[in-house]
Amino acid sequence: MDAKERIWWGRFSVPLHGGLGWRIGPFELGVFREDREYRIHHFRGEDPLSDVLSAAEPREDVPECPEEWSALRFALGEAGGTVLLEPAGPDRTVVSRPETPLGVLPGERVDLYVSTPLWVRVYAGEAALPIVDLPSVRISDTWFGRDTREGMLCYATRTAARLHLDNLPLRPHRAVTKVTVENRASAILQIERLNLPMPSLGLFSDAAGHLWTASVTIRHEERSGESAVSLGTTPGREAGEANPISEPRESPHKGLLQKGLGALLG
Amino acid sequence: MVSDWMESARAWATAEHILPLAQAAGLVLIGILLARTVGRLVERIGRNRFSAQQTMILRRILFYGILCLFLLSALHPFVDLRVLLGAAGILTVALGFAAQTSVSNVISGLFLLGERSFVVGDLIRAEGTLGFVESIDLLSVKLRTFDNLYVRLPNENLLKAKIENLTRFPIRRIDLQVGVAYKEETGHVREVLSRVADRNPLCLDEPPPLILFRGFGDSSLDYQVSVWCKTENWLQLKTAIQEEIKEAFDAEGIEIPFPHRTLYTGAVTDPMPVRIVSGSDEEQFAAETESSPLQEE
Repeated sequence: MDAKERIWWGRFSVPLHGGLGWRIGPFELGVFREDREYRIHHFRGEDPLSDVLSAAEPREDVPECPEEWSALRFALGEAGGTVLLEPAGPDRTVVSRPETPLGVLPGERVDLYVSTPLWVRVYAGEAALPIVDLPSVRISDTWFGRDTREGMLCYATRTAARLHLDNLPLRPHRAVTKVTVENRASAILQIERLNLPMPSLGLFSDAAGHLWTASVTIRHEERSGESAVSLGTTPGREAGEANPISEPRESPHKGLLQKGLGALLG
Repeated sequence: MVSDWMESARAWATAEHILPLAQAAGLVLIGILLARTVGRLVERIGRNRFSAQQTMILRRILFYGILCLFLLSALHPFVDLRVLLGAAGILTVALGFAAQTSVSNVISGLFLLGERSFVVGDLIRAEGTLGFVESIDLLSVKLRTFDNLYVRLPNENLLKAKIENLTRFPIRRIDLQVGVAYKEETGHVREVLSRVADRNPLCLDEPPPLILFRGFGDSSLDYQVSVWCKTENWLQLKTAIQEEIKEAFDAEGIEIPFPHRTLYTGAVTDPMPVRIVSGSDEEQFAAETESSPLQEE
C-alpha cells in the first residue's frame, strides 16, 4: 500500500442522493447526502487491532442504516456537497500500561514508541463545525490518581512500550507517540504505566501516510522524585518531514502540566 | 363621622407628610428592583465561575442585604433606628420562643451549608428519599426524586439524619453477588468473571476489578464481583454487567443454581419409597389417594 492509499482524511465531495464510505481499522463510516441533509452511519467492529483500510468509496444511493449500526442526521440550510474528514486525538489523557513493566537505568535516556487509537471527526456546513467526533475504538475507562477521591478519568490501553519503531505495527486508526524517558535519579525508574496527554498533542502524517502525535519527553529528577514533562511540537526525527493534520484539542496549561502530568509515570 | 375622618385625613396629607412617605415608598421600590437586578446579574456571572450552590448563596445574601439597607433607609425619617434595633432584640427573644421549630430549622440550615456535605445538584439519599438536591433553603432542603416528585426535608431532621451523597466522588464501585453451582471449577469461574469486567469499556481498568470468593452458600459457591466506574455510568454499568455475566455463564456452561432442598424420609440410610404409576393404574391410584385419611385431614 502506498502513501496515497493510506490517506483517509481530507476534503471530500459527497454526491447528492449518494454518499461515501470509509473503513478505518475497526471503524466503519458512511457519509450520505440528501436535500439539505447529511446522514452519518457508523459502526465499530469487534477487533480493535484490525488494519483494514478503504477510503471514500462512492455509493450511489442512501441506504437504510443496518441494524447494528448507529445513525445520525444533520440538517443544513443549503447542504454544501463538501465534507472534511480528519483524525483527532482522544478527548481524555490515555494511560498506557506496558504488558511487562520496564525499568530505566539511572542516567539513561530511552525512546519508547506507543500507539494510541484515534477519533474521527467530520466537518460540514459553512461554519465548518465538527458534526461528528467519534472514537475509532471504544477504549476502556480508567482512573489515574492517588486515591479514589482525587485524580482524573482517563482511557486505558495496553502497550508493548517498544524500544524500536520497526517492531511497532502501524495501523490506520492509531497514531504513534515517541516518548523519551530520561532518568536523572540514582535509582532505577520503573515504568508501570504512562499517562499520555493526548488531548494536548497535535497530529501529523509522515511521508508514508502513517499518523504520529507530537513527541513527549519525561525527565525523572533525583531531588523532587517527580517527573517533569515537556510536550514537543513535532513527532520526532523518525517521522521525517511530517505534515501537521490536526490541532490539539486543548492547549496544555501550566497547572495541568504540573499537577496532572507531573505524576505521568505510575 | 365619615366626613370628620375625611377632613382630618385631608389636613394630615399635606406636602410635609406626603413627601417623606413617597420617598420611603420610592426607596423600597428601588431597593426591590436593585436587589432583583443584582441577583440576576450574580446568577449570570456566577454560572460559569461558581458552583450552583455558591451562586445561590451569594444571590440570596446580596438580595436580602440590599433589601434590608433600603428598608432601613426608608424607615429612617419615621422611626428612630436605635429604638427599632432595641425592639428587634426583644422581638427576637419572643419570636424565638414562639417559633422554636422554625429557628431550629434556620440554624440547622446554616450548619448544613457550612458543613457542605452536599451541594445543589448532588444526588443524595436522606430519610429514605433518593433524589437530586434542588435547593438548600433557610427552612428546608428540596429534593427532586427520579420519579419527578418534589420532596421537602426540614433542615432540623437532616442535621440529625444519616445522609448518603452518591455523587460526591467522581468514581463509584458496584458490588454484585454471584452464585455458581458446586460442580463448577473455581478457577474457570474467576477467569470468566475477569473477562466480563475487562471487556466492558465502562468498567474502570484502575482501580482493578475485585473478584472475591465469599464462601459456601446453601445452594451455591458465592462470589462478589466489585467493579469501578465513572459515577454517571453507575446505573448503566450495573445493568449491563449483570446481563453480560449471565450471557458469559451461559456460553461457558456455568450453572447459576436456584436454592436446593434435600428431603429424607426419616431414616438416614433407607431410600425414599417410590411407587411407579402408569396407564390404567392412574385412576385407581387417584381414587386411593382421595379416600386416604391424610387427604381427609
